[in-house]
Order: sequence, then structure tokens, then C-alpha cells
Amino acid sequence: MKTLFSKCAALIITLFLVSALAFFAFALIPADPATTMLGSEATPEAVAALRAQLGLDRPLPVRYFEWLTGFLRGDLGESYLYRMEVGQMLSGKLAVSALLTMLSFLLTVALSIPLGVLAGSVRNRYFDAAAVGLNQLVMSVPPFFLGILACYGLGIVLKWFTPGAYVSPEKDFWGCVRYLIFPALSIAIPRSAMAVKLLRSAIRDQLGQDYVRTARSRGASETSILLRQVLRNALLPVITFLAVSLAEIMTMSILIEQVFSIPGVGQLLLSSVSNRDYPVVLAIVMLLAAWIVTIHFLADLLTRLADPRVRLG
Amino acid sequence: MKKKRNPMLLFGGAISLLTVGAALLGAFWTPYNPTAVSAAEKFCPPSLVHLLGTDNFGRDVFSRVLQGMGASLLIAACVVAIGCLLGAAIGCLCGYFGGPADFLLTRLCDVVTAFPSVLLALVVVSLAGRGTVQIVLALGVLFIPSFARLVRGEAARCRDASYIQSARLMGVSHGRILLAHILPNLKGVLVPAIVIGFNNAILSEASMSFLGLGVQPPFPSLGSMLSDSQTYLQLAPWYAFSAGAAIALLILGFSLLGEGLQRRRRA
Amino acid sequence: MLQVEHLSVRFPGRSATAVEDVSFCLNRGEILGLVGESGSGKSVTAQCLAGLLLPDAEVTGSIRLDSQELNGASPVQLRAVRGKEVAMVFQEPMTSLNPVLRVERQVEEALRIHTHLNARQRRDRALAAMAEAELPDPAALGRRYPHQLSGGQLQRAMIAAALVSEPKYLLCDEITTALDVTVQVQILDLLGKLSRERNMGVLFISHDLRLVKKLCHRALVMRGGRIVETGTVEELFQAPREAYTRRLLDAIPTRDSKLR
Repeated sequence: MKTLFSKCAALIITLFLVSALAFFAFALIPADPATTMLGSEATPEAVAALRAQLGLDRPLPVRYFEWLTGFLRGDLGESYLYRMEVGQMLSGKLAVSALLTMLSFLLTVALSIPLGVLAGSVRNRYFDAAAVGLNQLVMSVPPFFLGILACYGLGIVLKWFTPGAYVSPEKDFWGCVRYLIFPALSIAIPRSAMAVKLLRSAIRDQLGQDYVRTARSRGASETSILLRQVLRNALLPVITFLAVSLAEIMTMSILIEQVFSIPGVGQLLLSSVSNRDYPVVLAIVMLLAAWIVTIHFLADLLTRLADPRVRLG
Repeated sequence: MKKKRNPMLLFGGAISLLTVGAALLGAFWTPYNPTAVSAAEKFCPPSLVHLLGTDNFGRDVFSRVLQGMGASLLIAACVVAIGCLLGAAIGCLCGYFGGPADFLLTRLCDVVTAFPSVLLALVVVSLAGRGTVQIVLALGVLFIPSFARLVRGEAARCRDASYIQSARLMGVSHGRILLAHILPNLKGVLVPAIVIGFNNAILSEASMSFLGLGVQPPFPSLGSMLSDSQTYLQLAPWYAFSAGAAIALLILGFSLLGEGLQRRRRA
Repeated sequence: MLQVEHLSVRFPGRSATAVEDVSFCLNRGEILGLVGESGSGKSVTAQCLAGLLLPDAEVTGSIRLDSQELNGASPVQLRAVRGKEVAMVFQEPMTSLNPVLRVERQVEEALRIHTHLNARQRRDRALAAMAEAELPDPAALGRRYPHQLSGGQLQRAMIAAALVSEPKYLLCDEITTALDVTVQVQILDLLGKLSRERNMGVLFISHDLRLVKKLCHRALVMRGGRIVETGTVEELFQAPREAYTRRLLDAIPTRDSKLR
């Protein structure tokens, strides 16, 4: 209970620090948003007026405090470029990115656990060498390249889907899911290869433990030992890895959205970076950072719950 | 004891040697000028004349891949050099001296390593602008924490070792202990970490270039080639395959090498 | 009767045989000691009896349980024997239990495998076995995880787990080695009591001759994979025939040896 409390406190402090760091970093960049917005021919008076309107003439800590309280209330700021609420710009895109992330995550879990158990339990030298080799190869393919391969192989050659023909979930939810399966696979396959590697070595490690010999001496079958006893121990490190994957998948989807032309948060982030639309970049970065920090926090809690030795001290 | 076979080290070394060799070759000689445009030779499929075909400007893909690998490796080397040198220095001092600065820096490193490097690089690029130098500096700085964390742990372990304690009792200065006793101990953890860092740097650089935020055209870069090739995927799939396979090959080589080195260390 | 005849075990890639031409029998209700220095083949013999050796070990000879031949039996037949007819307790109680499962769940493991009892019946039998193994407050301890128990408690839990399916033979491989001296004595008393009450054959493997002398009826002395001497404990301790046995006996520290 005490650890839970201190972990929560650490989470809040971390989020606070990250927000301050991000805000001041974006506030200190040399380019003045007012000049950028009005163009280089604008009169100094017009620039000054706009600065006042945007609130840029007030001291930094005040602006930070206002931004933070606004952020917590759901006011994510206003885009310089489109003069639009960032929250409004994000609303549809966030859902798409969340859907893609969830799909990728579910596929990663669904692929990695059975394959990892298989790789960990089969005791055949040739099978093992082939599995390890294949695994390393798959791990080395960057998701965005795998996405391009999928576009070519599954899209252009086999015509299972049309690359670029994205359907929004409001219009046709299942059509959207069907399209997102391919980008999700491109993210999930290399990611599961890493999880398989981890699970394989964890199972190998656990199979050599004394309690396995005990279970054998009770007459338990190898399958029941593997699934009922070994897997529970071997999954402990994998749980953390998979949970942290949720954070990695989110960034990978920035790249994958480019490959499959999915109008998600990643595309908005990239275009805002190109356009130097700082409030949008700041808001998205802050949201992603909050997501990542929270995921790490939850992963830690989950490990504690799953492992009685850590849970009970 | 019988020496254990280490196929990962073997294959990894061979692939890395091949890619580094190809990149070195590309630095001095390529079959064609990688930036020479030829309208007549647009989208030639792979043949004996153009080993990997030509792209949308009629440029030889093989020559561009060779130079792109060189660029990737050079950038990765700079990134890892920055990350490793600064990270090792910070980690060494933190681990050896401890104290509140150590506590603070360790927490900071923990936070930074929790974030995916592509996201952080995106932030830095949005602040500092795009370009090769920015990418190298941004990724280099982002690689510091992982090295610092690793070295800190090792240095803190060494500090408590009895031979360091006795050296201190004999009045050896801190500087000498760090250089003569702790530094040699770090080699074991640093070598695999450098190889793995190299691997991550190549992936991060390729990702950033793929997003158009890394090496700027017309210089060949594997990531931006891959991004360009996507438009012509139907017309010239070999373009995408060559660029992507080159990235995958670089990563495969260094990941196997890193894995092999770690296994040898453990064995 | 558990009868072993001309048992030899060799591992591929090693020139020396781990166990060579070992013959003995273990009757129900009897406690048989197996002594020898480490590496003498004691553990390999015991694991061979329970069919726990790696599949690449070459086992020749005969192991007969009552009338059933175990050497060369199919994995399914072996599994039916293990944990039901022949149970085993190991040296390291700390690592011999699965760290993520509750103790109770592990004590009833054999019932899950060998019987069709429902959860309640299994739990009742497990608690009874734990009480018989003299674990204080079985209901509370059973709810705990292995790392929350002491070494002695864990070893009692292991014994309870072995007893739960009422085996005819119990193989104890150095089960007191990792425990404190006072706990060792308690465990020995427990084994003696269980053997008498349940008419159970116990193979007690130890490198500690004092424990063997205290507990066992007969004993075997092993060296280099062979049995060098057999006899009742009285014979062995009073009048050892072999020089090796005598040396082992001399190595026991006594009150006199300190004064000498």
C-alpha cells in the first residue's frame, strides 16, 4: 500500500516535470510565433498586437501555469496555423490512432505468446536454430519497411486491400478495422519477434529450475508442467515488455500512418512539426508523454500483482 | 573447457563486415554517379547493367544504396560516439562519487530512457530544425542516458570492490582510480552496448529520414529513399526493396553481433 | 517391494559410468539409508528410481516396483507411478517449490494428477497431509507463497505434498542438508513416524552418517557409482568390513575427537 502511494506520487511528479520541460523547451525557441503567423512584412505594431492577443507578452511561469491548468481542464491550446482548438483538431484522429494501437497490441499478444511457448518448449536442435534465426531476421525489419512490403505483397500483388484507401471509422467501423489490420500487423510482427525471444529464453531458464523436477516427480505431464507451472513464471518479464510495448507501438504508429496514409495523430504531429505549429506539437507531445509515463506506471503495478515475491515483499 | 560455438557472433560479424565493406566501397567508388539523373533510364528493372535497377530520376539504385549505407553508418557512428563518450563520463562520475547529483541524474536518465527515441528526436527536430547535424546531435544527446545508466551501475559496483577500497586507503587519487581501475572494467559492458546502440542509431536515423526529418536530399539516405520509393511502389518495387533490405541488413548484422558479444561475455 | 538389480547409468559424452551394477531392495515399512560422498552416484540412483533422469541417460538393469518393471516403461506408465506409488523429496526446499503458486496448491498437485477428487476434497486431503507433516496451522500456511515460509516449513510442505497421494515408497534426496540442526532432528523423527504409521518404504539419502545411524534400519555405502558395503546399521557402525566405510566413520566428529 505504501509503495503504491509513493509510486503514484512519483508518477505525478514525473508528469509535472515532463510538462514543465516540454513547455519551456517550446517557449524558448527563437522563432516568434507572431512573426511567423503574420509573415515578415508585418508592421511591428501588428506583431505586438498579436503577441498581446496570444498572451505571449506575459512572463513565462504565468503562461506555463495557465497552460497547465487549461490542459488539465481539457483546453489543449490553439493552433497558430489554423486558429483552431487543438482538442477539436485531435478528436477524430485520436480515435483512429487509439484503434491502431489497440489492434497492434492485441495482435502482438496473440502472436507472441503461442509462438514464444512453441519456441521455448520444442527441444530439437534444427527447429531451434531455424526459429532463433528467423526471429532475429524478423526483429531486424523496421516496421515501416514491413508496412511497405505488406502494401506491395498483400495490397498490390494479392489485392487483399488497396493501399491508401483508408475508411474512417465513423463511416464504416469494420471497414476501417479491416484496413487497419495490415498496418497493425506491420507493427505487431517485429514487436512480437522481440517478445518471442524474451519468452523463449525465459521458458528455457524456468525449465531448468528445481520446481520443474518436483512437478515431474509428482507425475505431471510435460504439457501440464509447461502451461500450468513454467508459463506463469516465464510470463513475468514478458508482461512488462508487452505493457511497455503499448508506448513503443504509439510511436511506431507515427511512421506506419505515413506508410498507409492513415489520418491519425502521427500525421498531425508531423505536419505540425513541418509547419512549426508549436501549440499542436506541444499538445500532442504532452499527450504522448502522459500516455507513456502512465503505461510504465501500470506495467510496474502489473508486474507487482503478477509476482507474489514482489507484491508481498 | 571446450570453446562453445557462437553462430550469432559469426553470422553477425560476417554480415556487419559485408555491410561496412560495401559502405566503404561506396565512399570511394560506385558503379554510377549516385546523383546523376538520366531521363532515358527511368524505372529500369534490375539487370546486369543496373544491379538493383534505377529510380524515378533514372539514378542507379545500387550506387545510391551503397552511399546511403555509408551515410547511415557514419551518422550512427557519430551518434554512438557522442552518446557513449558523454554517457560513460557522466555514468562513471555518478557511479563513483554518488551523492545528490547522482540521484538526480539517475532519475532524469530513467525518465528519458522511458521515451522512445523517435518521439524525442521529433521534438528536438521541431525545435532545432531539420538537417543532418541536428539529427546527429539530437540522437546523440538522446543516447546519453542509456550509456550513462549502464556505466553508472558498473562503476558503482567497482567502487565497492575491495581492491578499489584498498587503493583508496593507500592514498591513490580519485582521478587515477577512475582511469586505472574503473575504466578497464567498463570494456566488458560497453562493447556490446556500443554495438546495440549502433543498431538503435541506424533504426532511429532511418526512421527520421523516412519522415523527411533527417538527411536532406539530394544526398542519398536509406530512409528517405524508402520514403520516395513508396510513391512508385507499383512501378518500381525493386527501389523500395533495395532500400528497405539495406536497412534491415545493417540492423540484422549489428543485432546479431551485439547478441553474440553478449553471449560470449556471459559464457 | 522396490527391487533394483544390476542398475547401471551412464551419460553420453562422459567416460565414467555414474552408477555401476547397483542392486538392492527396499521393503515397505523399512527405512534404507544410502550414504556416500558427493558424486558417488546417490542422487543419480534416486532420480533413476523416480524416472527423472534426462532422456539421453543410458539406463541398464532392472527396477521393479512390486511386479512392474520401470526401466523401459513408457512415459505414460512412469507418470502413473511417479507421485502416486513413489514420491520424492529434494534437497533444496527453497527452489523445489514453484514461487508463483500458493503452497496449498502445490501440496495437492499429486491429487490433481492422479485422482478425480473435486477441489474441496483435494483441499481437505492437502490440509490433512500438512497436519500430518506437523506444519503448524496448515490452513493459514497453505494460503501463503513459498518465499513466505522458512526452510523447515517448506521441507515439511514438500513432505506433505509427497504424502498426499499416500505413496508406498518415499525417496528422500539429502532432504535435511539445507536445514538447521534442530530442524534436521525434527524431520528425522517425522520420517520415522510416517514410515511406521503408513507402512511406507523410505530411501534416505544423505552424506551425514549420524543421521543415517539415527534413522535407518539398513544402509548402503556408495563410492564411485558402486555399492561398497551393505548391512544393518548396527553391523555397519559396529564392525565395518570395508576400509572406506571405516574412513567415513572416522570422519564423524565426536566429542572425543575434539579432545584428541
